Amino acid sequence: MKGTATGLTQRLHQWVRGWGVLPALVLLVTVFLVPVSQLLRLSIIDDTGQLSSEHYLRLFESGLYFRVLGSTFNISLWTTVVCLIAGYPVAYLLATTTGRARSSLVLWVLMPFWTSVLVRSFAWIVILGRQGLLNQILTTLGLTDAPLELIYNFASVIVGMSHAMMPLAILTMLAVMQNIDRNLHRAAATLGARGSHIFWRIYFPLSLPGVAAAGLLVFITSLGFFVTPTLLGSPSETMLAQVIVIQIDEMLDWGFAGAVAVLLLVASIAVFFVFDLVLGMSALTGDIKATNSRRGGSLTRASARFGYRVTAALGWIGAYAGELYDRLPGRGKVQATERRRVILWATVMAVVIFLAAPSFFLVPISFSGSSFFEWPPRGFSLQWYETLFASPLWQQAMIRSVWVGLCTAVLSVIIGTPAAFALSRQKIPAKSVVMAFILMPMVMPHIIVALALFYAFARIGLVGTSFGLILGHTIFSLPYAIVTIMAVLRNYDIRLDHAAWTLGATQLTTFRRVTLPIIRTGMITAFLFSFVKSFDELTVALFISGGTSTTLPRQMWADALLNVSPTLAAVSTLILAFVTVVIICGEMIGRRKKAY
Amino acid sequence: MFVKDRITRRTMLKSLSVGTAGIMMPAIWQRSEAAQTLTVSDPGGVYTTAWTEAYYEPFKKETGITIIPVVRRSNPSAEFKAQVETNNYNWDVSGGINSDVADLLVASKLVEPLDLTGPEMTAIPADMKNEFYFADSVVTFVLAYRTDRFKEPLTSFADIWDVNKFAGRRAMRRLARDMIEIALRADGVPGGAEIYKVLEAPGGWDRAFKKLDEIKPQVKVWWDSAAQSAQLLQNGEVDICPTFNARAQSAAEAGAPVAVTWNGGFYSATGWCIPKGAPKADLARQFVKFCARADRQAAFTTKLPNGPSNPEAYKFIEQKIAVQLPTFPENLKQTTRVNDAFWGRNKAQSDKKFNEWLLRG
Repeated sequence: MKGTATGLTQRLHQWVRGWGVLPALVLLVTVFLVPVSQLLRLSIIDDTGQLSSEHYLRLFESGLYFRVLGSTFNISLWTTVVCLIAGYPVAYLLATTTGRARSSLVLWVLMPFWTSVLVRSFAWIVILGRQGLLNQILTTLGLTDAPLELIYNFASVIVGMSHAMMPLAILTMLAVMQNIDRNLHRAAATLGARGSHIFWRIYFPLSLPGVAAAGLLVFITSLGFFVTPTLLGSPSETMLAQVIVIQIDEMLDWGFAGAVAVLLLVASIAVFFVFDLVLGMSALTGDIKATNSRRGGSLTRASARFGYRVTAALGWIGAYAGELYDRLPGRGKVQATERRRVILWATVMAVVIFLAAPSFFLVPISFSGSSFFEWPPRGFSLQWYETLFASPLWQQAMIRSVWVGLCTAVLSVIIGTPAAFALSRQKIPAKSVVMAFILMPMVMPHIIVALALFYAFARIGLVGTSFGLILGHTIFSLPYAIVTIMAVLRNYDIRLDHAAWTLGATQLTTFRRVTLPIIRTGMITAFLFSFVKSFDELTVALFISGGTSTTLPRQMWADALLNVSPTLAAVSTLILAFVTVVIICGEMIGRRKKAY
Repeated sequence: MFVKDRITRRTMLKSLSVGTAGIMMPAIWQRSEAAQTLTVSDPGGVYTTAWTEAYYEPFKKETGITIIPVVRRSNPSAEFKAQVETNNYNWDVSGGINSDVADLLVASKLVEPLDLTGPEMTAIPADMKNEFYFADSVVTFVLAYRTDRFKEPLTSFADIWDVNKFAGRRAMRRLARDMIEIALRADGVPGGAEIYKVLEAPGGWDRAFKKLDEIKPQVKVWWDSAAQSAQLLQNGEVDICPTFNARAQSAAEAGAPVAVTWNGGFYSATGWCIPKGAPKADLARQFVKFCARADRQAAFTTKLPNGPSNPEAYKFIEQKIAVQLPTFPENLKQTTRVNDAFWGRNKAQSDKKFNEWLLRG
């Protein structure tokens, strides 16, 4: 059929039905693909403008760049593993709890989001250092004689990176878990399944799309990191993004920087296709029912069978472990569900403390009399707050960042939602390729995008405008928005729409009354991710927002030049207080509404 | 499937957006367009504070031209290239540029010629200015250490290698140039021209790396960001950490028991460049010349302990501050200038060698 006229019209037809993905593609092609490939073109020409492979040959001259690539992957992999394992119980608890406990938990989980990468890393330096908080506690308690080496190694990099990435993992998984029907539990229990079986054989498989999406997002985002490994690691934890920045800044060798960026890109695309091969895009796109048995490769089917056996086995192991525990002499007759709940809460609290502690730790530092991040803080002073409030620059930066962040978030959700629908509902030709393309901005180091956009925007007068900056930030946040909404759609039974239509609802009513309530969590999560992504972005802001207007990360980063002063802790504390107040107000409004 | 708990995050975001919209209402993009302005980029933070007092405000008072300071990254070479190639200028002139970066910019033909006439420019030593670059200050890479850990002061870079006499944790910079300069000094090569003679002779590089091999196991931290080096000294994470004089002094000023040893230190210049083709290049030249004045350079030293390049500036500086500055005659004679041209030629090779050496574990 391929190649014939009917095949062609059919494919055309598929594209028409998948229109939703077009705005996203148009944006990515014009604001990302074209500018960036013009910059990367430098990697295939030499100084005289002739086609040349010299930059790529340099990659192979020594094992250096491949070793760095290896450590980049290794760090990203471990970060992903830690985020998924530690984040899953938190997401599960959030999805199965209601009311106040839940909203305050969300607040705690989001804590790392509101502090910039730089400040967070310095907080970890003070917590994990030789004379840091943790070592002070350990020696005071007499647990160690000499301070432990907790920092400047692989472990501290993983701690810093998973701290940064965990909210992303938790919220992505939560968005999916929220849509798992609780009645399934009851049905299974009625049929005699034990708690452990219910979890492993029903809940866990249904939550897997969320886990897969979270894993992919965390892994790919981690690949482009470099502030955290630079500040918390040793030279063995060098990441590829660092090499690229050095080539661009110190050598002005954009050709070779482009070659390194291409290496990073190719490696990430390879990972994505391996992901596709093993888990199947179905894990993300949701057409598992339709295609898994037919189209999916043998590997997909094999892994599905394997997965089924593993979850079944885990169910049995859990059930027997619970049984054994109950039979231990001297155990009170505590309900099994109660007991599980206690263990779950304990685990979740540990993770939540890990996530929130550094932010709270910054509060006393912001009142310190010393001009450094120091523990315990010396003296008391309000000078850092005075600096903030006395300077119009800081206020202007803060306001502008919030404004740009909100616009970016709105734009990402508006463009991302139809794209997510098209990608998960429609048969689009070469869907994996489209998907890989959409994820690309996540791996591309910001300095490359910033330079590329500067060249492109300079030609059309967008440099120095808020609109240009918003467009640039949307490129980075769009992939997050699309993947999060897709993960929610994965569990959305389209027959609900059909039922509504049958009952006489128009398409619009169906969307408003059926679809929107279901995907709302996903859209809110997508909004939040996009906002935070923009709120914390530095490099593109430096280039695109032009000379005179500044954003918060720019201002914070400038302040950290000679030493990282408690002004930055004060900024974090203010944002923390602001967000907390907003959330509490939101909840109070919500509760009053409920009362009516 | 029907989520009961629908309040928290939706309402949170609702009130979040309403709240922020409220704050944002006052116009955000008000640009002050005074009669004449000049947009100056600097590295931000304490530089902006010090230079506003020393250069920006006085310049406005004298000429009526308003200076708009903006922040840029510490190494602005990519900014220069992008602005010049697109003919799109975010700023008209940039300060705080290290001499090695300036060399690269000059070699890449990305900068405007300067006006080096007049008495203030004549007073500037020849190695602090050229047709395209004017250095208003000097920063020195010195030996810094915690005084509470050692009975005796450290007197030279060789003491870093003396792990018996000065047992303790070391931090070093993750940069080939500085580490090789230090290693050869510790190996008995006098600073300055001798260093480059050794490196240009056969086996010179091996000698430096062999010396570095000896200290590698003692190095607990390889720092990359200069702010981090100040933090390391301040909170006692390490006991010895060669770094820029200003960073070590900022830790000492915050009350940490930190001292610097000028002996054997090596310095480089930092100063001003104008991106080629900048529309306000003439005003920018006028401003750069203003920065050469002795009294103006003296004025920034109260906030920023960089050494003024104009020797006459010391007439205006208090003795207490003067002794801490890199160009104070007593300090200057103990230190030598880094040969930027040599390192420019050898940067690619030395960086690669050094990074491979670091990764070798």
